Parts: sequence; C-alpha cells; structure tokens
Amino acid sequence: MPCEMITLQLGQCGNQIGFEFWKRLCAEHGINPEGILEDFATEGIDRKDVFFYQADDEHYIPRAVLLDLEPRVINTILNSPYSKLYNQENVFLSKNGGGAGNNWASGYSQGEKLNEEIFDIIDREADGSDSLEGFVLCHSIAGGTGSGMGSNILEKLSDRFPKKLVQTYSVFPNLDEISDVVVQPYNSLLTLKRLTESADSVVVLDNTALNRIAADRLKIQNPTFTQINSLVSTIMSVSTTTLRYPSYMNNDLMGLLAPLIPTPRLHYLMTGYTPLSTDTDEVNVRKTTVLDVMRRLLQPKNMMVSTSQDRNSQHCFISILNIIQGEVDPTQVHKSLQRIRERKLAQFIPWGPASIQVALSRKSPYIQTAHRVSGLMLANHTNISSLFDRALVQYDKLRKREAFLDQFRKEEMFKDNLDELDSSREVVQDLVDEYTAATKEDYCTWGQN
Amino acid sequence: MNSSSGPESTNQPDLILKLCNHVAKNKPVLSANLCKIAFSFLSSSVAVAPNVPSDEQYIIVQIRQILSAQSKENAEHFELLYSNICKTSVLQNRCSVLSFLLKLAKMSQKEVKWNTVESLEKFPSTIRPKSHLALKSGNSQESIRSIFQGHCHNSVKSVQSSSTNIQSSCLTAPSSTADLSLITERDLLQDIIYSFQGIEGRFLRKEVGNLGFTVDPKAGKNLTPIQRGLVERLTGMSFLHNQLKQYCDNNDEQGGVICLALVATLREELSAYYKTIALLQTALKKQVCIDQPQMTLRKSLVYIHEHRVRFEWLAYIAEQCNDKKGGALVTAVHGFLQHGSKCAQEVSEKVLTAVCKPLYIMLWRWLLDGEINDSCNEFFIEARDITAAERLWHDKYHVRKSMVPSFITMDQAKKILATGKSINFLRQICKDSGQLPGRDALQKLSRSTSAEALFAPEQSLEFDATLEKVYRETSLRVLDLLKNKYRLFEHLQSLRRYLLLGQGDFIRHLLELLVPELNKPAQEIYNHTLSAILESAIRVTNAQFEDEDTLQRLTVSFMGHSQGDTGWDVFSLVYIVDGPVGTIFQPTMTTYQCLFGALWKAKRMEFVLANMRKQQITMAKKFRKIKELQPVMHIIHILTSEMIHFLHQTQYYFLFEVLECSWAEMLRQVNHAECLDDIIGAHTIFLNSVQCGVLLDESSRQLFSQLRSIYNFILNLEGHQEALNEAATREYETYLEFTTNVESSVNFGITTDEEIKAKARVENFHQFINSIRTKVKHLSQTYKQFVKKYLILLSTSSNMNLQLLSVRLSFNDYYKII
Repeated sequence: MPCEMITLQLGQCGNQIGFEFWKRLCAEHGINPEGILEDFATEGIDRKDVFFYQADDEHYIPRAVLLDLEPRVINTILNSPYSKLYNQENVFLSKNGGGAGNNWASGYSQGEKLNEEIFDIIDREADGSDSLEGFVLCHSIAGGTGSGMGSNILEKLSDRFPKKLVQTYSVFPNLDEISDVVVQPYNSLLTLKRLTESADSVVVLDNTALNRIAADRLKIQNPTFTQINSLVSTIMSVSTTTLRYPSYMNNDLMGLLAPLIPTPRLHYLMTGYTPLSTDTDEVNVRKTTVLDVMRRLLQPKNMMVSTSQDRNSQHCFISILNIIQGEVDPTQVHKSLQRIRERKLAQFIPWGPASIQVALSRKSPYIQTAHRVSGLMLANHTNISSLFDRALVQYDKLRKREAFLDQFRKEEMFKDNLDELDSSREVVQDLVDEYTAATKEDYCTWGQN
Repeated sequence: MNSSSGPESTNQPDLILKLCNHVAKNKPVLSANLCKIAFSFLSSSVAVAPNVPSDEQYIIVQIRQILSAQSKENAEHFELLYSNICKTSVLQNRCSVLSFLLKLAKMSQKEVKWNTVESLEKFPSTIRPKSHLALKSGNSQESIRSIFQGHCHNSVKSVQSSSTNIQSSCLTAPSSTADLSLITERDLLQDIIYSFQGIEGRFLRKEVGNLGFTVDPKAGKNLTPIQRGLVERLTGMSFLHNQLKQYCDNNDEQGGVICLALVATLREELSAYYKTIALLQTALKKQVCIDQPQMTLRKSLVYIHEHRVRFEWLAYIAEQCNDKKGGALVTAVHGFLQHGSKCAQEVSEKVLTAVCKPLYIMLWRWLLDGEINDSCNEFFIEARDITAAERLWHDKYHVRKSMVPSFITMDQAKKILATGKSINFLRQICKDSGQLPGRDALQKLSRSTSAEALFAPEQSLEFDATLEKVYRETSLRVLDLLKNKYRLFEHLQSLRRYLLLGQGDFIRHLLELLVPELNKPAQEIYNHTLSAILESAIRVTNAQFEDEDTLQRLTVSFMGHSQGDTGWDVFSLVYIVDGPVGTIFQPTMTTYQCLFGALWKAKRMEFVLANMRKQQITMAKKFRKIKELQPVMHIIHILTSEMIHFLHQTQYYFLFEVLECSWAEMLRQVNHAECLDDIIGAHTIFLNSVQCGVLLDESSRQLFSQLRSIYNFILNLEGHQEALNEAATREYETYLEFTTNVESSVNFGITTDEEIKAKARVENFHQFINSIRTKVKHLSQTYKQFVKKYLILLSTSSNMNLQLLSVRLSFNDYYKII
C-alpha cells in the first residue's frame, strides 16, 4: 500500500501521546488492543495500511518505533492491554536506562551513540513498506530525550531518507507554570533549529494552550496528562484522517501539506478543534453546521497554540485547511466560505492567493460521537512566530546569565564552545524574521539581494 | 275514318244508342243488349283501360307501320289524310280518334267481328309535372344533399300516371328504338335499381369518374323533368354506393387491419343496403301481377332514404379515411364522433368501434406482452432495427406520432410506449421471463373491457387509470431489477470512483506508477504494460476490496494518437458496462471519457505540483549551503504556492460544487425515479452538469483552453525546477569533490589550472541560475496574466457556479480583478 507512514515516538511525552494516538487509531479502524481485527470491521472503507501493516489476515501491527532512554513510560505501555499490539522488536530502551536528565545535549549525544541500533529498527521498518511516504515523530521539545535524541534522529532521517517527508507532532512546554526543567529554554531552542532545518512539517502542540483549553473550555481545573493527551490524540488522528479514509483529494501527506506550506521553512502548523468536549461534557451539543464549525475554528480560543493577541500586528493566515467530519451537506461548504469572506473573519497574506480549504472526511463508523459535525483546522499562521519569539526571549534571559550551561558543557558538542547554541538562535531568529516578512506584501522578493 | 258523328245529335249516350241500333240492324232486342253491354263496359273499364297511348306521335308511327306493311299507296294516302286532319280543327280528339282507329285496325287483324265498341273514353290530356327542380349535374356531396333536400321540400302530390304499362323486366330486355322513345317509370325504376348496385342500365350510363350515373342523353329526351329530377336524386344514392364500394375494393388488399375493419363495417352497411334493394326489386316484380300499391320512383326514394343518410356519412368518412391508415384513420373517424348530427354520431361511433377493435387488440398485446404484430405500420408504436442490445431502450421503439389516435394523448402514448418497452427490456435484455406482477388482473381487465373503452369519455377515465397502473407496475419491475439484480447503484458508484476519480488513493497510486510510461511518446506505449500497472495499482490500494465484477470491468484504453502525442494525451480508464445497465451507461461512455480526461489532467497537475513541492523540500535541505540558489528557489516556491492554490481550489470546486452536488441531486432523482427513463434522465443531467462544471461544455471552450494554458505553465515550471535541480546536484557534487580534493591534496592546494576551471564552473552555474531566474520571473508574470484573464472570464460567466469559482480562486483578493 502506498503512502505508508512510520511513527517514531520519543521520550516520555512522545511515548505518551503516541500511545494515545495508537489507542485511538485502533478504535477507529476496528482493531482490538491485541492487534486483531474486530468482527464488525469491514474492508474497503478505510486504509489501515497507512499506519499499520498486516502480519496475517487479521493481525495488524503498528508501524511504530518506540524509543526512550528510560523505561518508565514504555513499561507502562508494555503492561497495558495494548502490550501485544506493538512489534516488540520496535521497542527500544536504552540499556543504561538513566534517561537524558532533561538535558538536550545528553539526549542528543546518547542518540548519536545509539544511532546504529535505532536506525536498524527504522531501516527494517522502512524496508517493510512498499512505498514509504514519510515519518511521523512524536516528542516534546522541552525535555531531554524527545528534544535531544529527537533532534539527532531528525538530522539523521533527513540524511538517510532525503526524499521522505518528516512530520513531527511537537509538544511545546507550558509557559503558565514554572517548569521543573530549568534548561527548557536551551532545549527548546536547540530542538527548534532541527525542527526548522530537518523536519518538513511541524504540528505544534502547545501545552500552554492545551492546558488553558482544558481549564477554560472543558472546566477541568487540574487536567491530567491523560486528559490533555486525549486532546492531542484527537488532533493527531483527525489530521491524518484524509490519509486513512481515501476520497477525491488529500490522500497523501504531500498532497495535504503542499497547499499548507508555501516555502520550506514556514512549515509550522497550528491546530484548532471544535467542538471541544470530554467524556463528562457530552450534553453540550449545540447546533453544528459547516459554517458554525468553520467560524468557531477561526476563533483563537479554539486554537491549540497560545499565540499573543497583538491586535496591531500584521499577522495573518498563510493557509488554512479545515478537515470536517460528520453529516455535512457539501453544498453548504461554499456558502460558508462566502460568509467568512464577506465578514472578513480571517486575515490572509497579501503576497499570494490564499483561502480556506475544506476537506470533508469520513468518520470512523465504529466510534460514536455526540456531535453531528466536528472540525479540525490545520493552519499556517505567521503568528506562530510569537512562540519562537518567546523561546528566544527566555533563551536570551538564561543565556545572558550563562545559567545552567555546565550540564551542556559536559557533552561532546558543547565541550569546546557554545557555537551550537548561537547557531540555533540564529536559525530561530531567521525563522521569526521570515514569518514577519511573510506578513508583508514584499515577501515575494524576500531574500532577492 | 269516315264515321263522323251525325249533325243532329252530339250526345254520347244517344250516339251509343244509335250505334247499337245500327249494329243490331234495328232489331230492338239485340240493340238493347248491345247497349247494355256497351254501357256496362264503358262504366267499369276506366281503371283497366289497356294500351292507352299517351302520345300522338307514337300512334302515328304505329299506324304508319301497319299501313306500310299493307301497301305503299295506302301509307302515302294516310300521310295525305293525316296532314289534312292536322290542318282542320274539326276533329277535337284527334289523338284519341287516331288511337281508336288504330285499335280497330288491329282488331280487324284478329277478326273480332263485334269489336266495335271499344274505348270511347275521353283521355285526359297528358299532365305535365309541376315540380321544377333545379338539378345540378355532378357527383359532389352538395348535389346529393340538394337532391335530398329538394325531396323534403317538394313532396309533390303523387304523380300517378293513368297507366303504367311496364314490360316484364329482364336484363336481356331487347332495346328497340321504340323503347327508347317511350320510357316507362317501371323501366326507369329498374334501371335505377341496377344503378343502385352499380350496374349500367338502358337509360343510365356511368359518368366519366365511373362513380355517378347520368341519364343516357338519347333517353333523356324522353324523360319528363319530374322524372329527370327523381332519377338524378336516386342516382345520387348510386353514386354513394359506388363510392363506398370503390373504397372497399381499393382497400381490401393493402389496407391493413384497421383499414380492413373499416372496410368490413362498410361492407356490412352495404349488405344491409343490398337487402333493401332486394326488397325494392321484389316490390317491383310483384306489382305486375297483383293489384297493390304501385312501386314508383318516389317510393323508392323513401325505401332507400335511411341508407342514403348513413351512406352520406359513411362516404364522407371513407373519403376522409382515404389514403390514411391505422391510427391516422382512427383519428379521422374519431373526428366525426363530435359531430352535431345525431346520425353522424351514430355512424361514426359504429365505425369507430369497429376500427378501434384491432387497435385495441394491438394495444393490449403491447401492454401485456410487449408484442407488436403490425405488418402494415398502423399501430402508434413502431419497432425499428437496432444494432446493439444497449440501444433497445433508446432506439428500438418509438411513438409513431402520425398514428396516435386523437383520443390518446401524447402523454398516454408515451406511457404506453414505456410500458411495452419495459416488457421487452425485461424479456430481451434482462432475460427476465418471470411473470410480471399484476399481469393476471390486467389480463382479466383486458378481456372485460372493449374497444369503446378507448374513446368513450366515461370509460376512458378507467382506461387511463388502468394504463397508469400497468405503466407503473411494469416500470417498477424494471427499476427493481436494475437496482437489485443488476446493481445499478454499485455501477454508479464504481463509475464515480474510477472514471470520476473518486477513489483517490487508487488514482494517486496509478498516476505515480504511470508517470514513467506516460511520459513516453504515444506510439511506444503498450496496452499490456498499462494493464499490468493498472493491476498493481488495484492490488495495493483500497480498490482491491472492490468486488471482482467491478474490477474486471476496469481497463485501460488509448484514444487515437497523432504525431507528437505523449502517453498523457491518449491514456484513459475505461469501465465496461454491458447487460441491462448498459442501456443507461453505454451511450454515456464517451462523456465519461471526456470527464475522465479533464479530471485526470487536473489530478496529474496536482500530482506534479505535490512532487515539485517535495523536491523543493529536499532541495532546500540538501543545498542549504548553496546560498546562490536561494533567491531563485524562493521565487519558485512562491510561484508554486500560487499554482498549488489555484489547482487545489479548482479541485475543491470540482469536488464540492460539481461532483458532490450533482451526485447528490442524481441520487435523489434516482431514488425517486418512476421508470427507467427517469434514471437515464437523472444520469444525463448529472453528466451534463459535471461537464459544465469541469468546463467541457460548449460555452466554456475559451475557459477550458485558458485552463490548459495554465496547466502548461505548471509543466513549464516543473521543467525549470528539474533543470535547476540537476544543475545544482551536479554543482554540489563537483563542489564536494573539489573540496575533498583540496583537503586531501598533499600540496595543500590546487593548481591554478584547477582553480580557473572551478571558477569558470561556478560562473557557469551562476549564469545558469540567473537564466532560470529570468525565465521563472517571466513565467510568473505571464502566469499571473493568464490567471487574471481566466478569472475575468469566470466572473463574467453566466454560470453562477463559475462566478463562485472565481471568488474562490481569489479568496483574499490577491488577483485584483475588477
């Protein structure tokens, strides 16, 4: 089956959201926790082969590689009912088991050392696919394993598989709470460089926004990881739904990303989802038309990224893709677009044509939802740069004081100098600049001497 | 001749007495006896006076004959005497006297001794007819009618000739000159009776048209005007008879069933008429011997009056039906049903019932079994020859408009057509020989009703209801079979999935696999290669879950190619439809090919752009170090985005505004369809609207060519990017080689020669980049112009959807078109 994706989940966060993601995929495709196809599941509607491969007639195995430097989360997975789902050979745990200590440099260098073992798994997995389209990487940018080892793997992936797409679901740290990871700004910045240079598409999962949504919208005062991760898994599964349920368009990742990402570096996507509800909140089903869904998706409160609300800024949408599921009358799509245009609900770039794309996607027939219509927005918005700006500010604060750099200096990369930090800052700064440039009309001639 | 009356007495009885005395030679007894006999004879014999001539001329001729037989001198002497008598006025009753003398002469031949006392009666001078009918000659209806009317108005007192001495009739009656000069009413009547049957008689001759009769001009001289009038009135009947008879004879052979029915009815009427003629003839014969009311011309008029009226209408109908057949004939007859004349209504109803009978039988055969047994093309449904089974529904059966009877509306006719067509479709195409639902009830109904049901107003309602029922049930049966047994919806679904590219994953993969093949020139492509590719695309995509039947129908095909065509120009997917659903789909396959072509082209562009974008991503990573490349790449990125936006919006438009909407509408219509035609109609509408949507219709020619140009820009840009990629890769590899050379060089450097070469190479590369940059810039400008032109065309289109597409393509008003 063409267009297969291999999922790599790294570190504590990556494995947790990955685990939720697979649970959800299993449910949607009618595969039980042991990888066996349920009796009710019928062939022909969905494409299980994008994320699973078939061991035998009924047995489906995720194309997933589980990587961590410490065993806690992976052990939880292996002790769950889903333990038999994964190919045990694809579970990689560092033998020393000490983790990366929330240190990017540690994660990176461990990744470097374990490189061969890890890529043995990845290569095998890639060889097993007929026509691999790319990789999906789940990780957090703040910790040690996900960010450090993730960065390393990202670099290696683009070297080894230059023609394969690399998409990441990157969890950005929560800025509302004081993190116990003091070197978070360093970690983030260093990872951002790799995400900018080596990844092809980054879906930003901003913990700040996710927690705010949980608190404000879902009325959960102290959201658990599971609750947050359920949101994340929803976003992950819906954003891949057009790949898994074939239709007229958007059947491959490239086709999906091509209109979203105008130039290779502006590949950070934010997401929005509506209606937001948890298991306890299913009464709150309001009227849901296509227009409603599309309008709500444009509201910042439904965005999974906490961007600064600067009214005066020129920030604008570069592109939008709304994936709408449920009972939708296709004839309503255009009317909704017209309405949004008339009311100027969305501000678009001035340097090229842009509009809201709508993909109507099938829903899994095996999962009952309370909502008739739901929608996910994948958007490329210049305002995402405020996230990087924030990262730069935090980094600069820390860097000015030369704080917590000892741990970094221990590692090979920073032994002699801190050039890597400077170069990363430069890359991120360039990225912010490019996003800013993209708000202006002359972006067409940007960089033309 | 010399027995002139005495001068002293002119009294008749005295004269008779004197005569008796003279005869009895003054013997009183004998004289008294003679007187008695004479008086009794004279007083009783008035009515039975035989052989009374009515014409002086006739008598003279007879006398001449007798005398010239005796001697020439006598005859000459008679001429002399006769001319003397004519000059004097002495003899008052000259004619009677002459007649008397003639009789005496004849008596003397028979040697009757005492036969002197013969008729001395004073004959009434010949009565002239008083009716003066203006009789037009000619055979036209008007003249017949005027005769008829004349009869009504001038019912003249019966002109009873004092004596009707008729010779016994026989066909071989010798016609002598004497007969011609004296036509008796009886002779005339006989002739009339002949003419009633279309036979020429002694006096009546056929007219030029061989239909009407006229009185022989010679005999006509001897006819009294009243006789002439009557004769002409009566010959009108003959004319009608001949007309009907001629129609019957003419149409006996070639007319067809419905025509024969008309002929049969006419013959029936004719035979009733012959019966009347026979009665007339009998009456004529009888009166010779028996003392009963005499048969006269006027009486015969009454005899035939009823027939005459009927014949008038029948002849009129027949005239209207001439040269017509089948349904047209029925229509002609039906026209009379609304006539104000009661008689016309009666006659036409009888005829209509008769002519409808075969029609009715044909109709039920058609409705019940779908059979046409109509060798003369009379039925209003016709069957034509067809070349392919798929065309049965479309081409085989038609309503023959000229043959639709006026009491059947076009709507009904279409339903009738559809019903029988459905039966044939079921039997021949679906091979469904099973009993159709509700047939028994229908058959019963068909037996219990009669042909009148077709046109009688109160029954035609019932007929209409029945027709509706048959139509509905048969149509439902067809739909049922198509939907359930022949998987109509699955076929529609398959067509949409494969020919209209709905199965995106399959199409995408097929496209990917086909790229190397289709880039070749058309003549280098082989069917088996493509078939193999198709197979493998099916195998690995969700198409594999499609049922076997559908997959077997899916094949590749080439259209005819000309010089310079690549595989892209000729490739097409084909979905083979046969059997009953072929009726719906077969005729539309060329449309599907066109639609596939248009959608496939758009899909290919989408694929090209996605690959370009992929290459750009790779290039950006790979050539990060080649800074010189970045400006040109940026332009390419921006232009590619622009193109991707254009194409994706176009694709979304195809999907939502065109395919989805038309599809939803079609499904709605198909679900509500009452007959196969509804489905065919819905499907055609669907295809038409998709055709309009993807700019394949007539009015979108310009738009479509504009779109093709835009597609070509995409391919051009792809070429530039490819060239750039190759050059950059080359440059990058040489550069890497060069640097490794430099580093590994033992001499810690390079020769000047090598350096110059390297510089020249870099210079070359820069030049190349610049040339590409200029080209891309130019391309970008012209592309924008084309898009603007396209958008202007769209926004000025009369099609609302296209205007919306224009809005969609410039959603953020990037292309400022006014």
